[in-house]
Amino acid sequence: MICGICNRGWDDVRCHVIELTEAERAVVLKTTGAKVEKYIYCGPCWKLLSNRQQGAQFIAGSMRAAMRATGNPRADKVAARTLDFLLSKTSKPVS
Amino acid sequence: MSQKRLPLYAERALGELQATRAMAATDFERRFRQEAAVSCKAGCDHCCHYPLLVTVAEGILLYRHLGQKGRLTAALKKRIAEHADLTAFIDPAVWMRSRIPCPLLDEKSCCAGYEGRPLACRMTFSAGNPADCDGQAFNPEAMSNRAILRVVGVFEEKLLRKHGVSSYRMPLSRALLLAERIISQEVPLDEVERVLYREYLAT
Repeated sequence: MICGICNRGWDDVRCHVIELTEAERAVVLKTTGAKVEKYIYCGPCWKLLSNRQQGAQFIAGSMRAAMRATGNPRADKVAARTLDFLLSKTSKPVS
Repeated sequence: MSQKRLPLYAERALGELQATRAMAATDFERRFRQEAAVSCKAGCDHCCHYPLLVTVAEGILLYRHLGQKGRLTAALKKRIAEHADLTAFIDPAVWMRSRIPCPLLDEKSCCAGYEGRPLACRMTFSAGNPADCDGQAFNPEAMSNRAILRVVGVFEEKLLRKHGVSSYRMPLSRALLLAERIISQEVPLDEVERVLYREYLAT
């Protein structure tokens, strides 16, 4: 399987597959125009995404890098807001 | 902290490596400063979030340094273990975008092992706006130290091979965990690659 984040090939047993519901597929189709049935993540990328701080940093950071690459002057602000939003939506660790 | 000696061949390799590192870092810094004004400032830690892969020999040198300075606290060991878990097999580009802090970085953005830091850290300088060093906004291909690090890396590999020491590169935290086991003689130095394969690469 190919990881949707790092694009590296992995054994099936080391991957996490997220099957989208009908409603989720519809949202993805509407927002991106792509027909997606599932998302595949390798073990290391899944571990990173499962980490509250670093997972949010990765999502916001990827967004920031992509926006900067297109010359968007609001890249840093949008990424900072996205990071705050993601951190506010994820639960804090118990310990 | 007791500093057990390793077999003679390993101590020789570590000694040569330490001398080579110091020479390469000093030479690079001198040449860099001739060509550009270094804009690195205390408290700026962008490059402490970059992917960093080191050999077990560098891990041993750093681990010893931390031990000698009395900085191997329980909190630091916990950060090292968490970092090793998070960075295992992670793609460098994903690592760069995730701003994963180096486990040696403390709350005040200071390096716990600054004087004994790895060669790649010694050879990373900012010559422009330090904010541009942020891994989420930066193109690693543009780093001026890449070519020299490659040359030193090849030399280091040959040196370690000559002495029969593994030259496999791994995340800093993984190298420190392994160094702890080598220094405590739980893992013999000539078993390093087998242990790495069994516990790390084959999992």
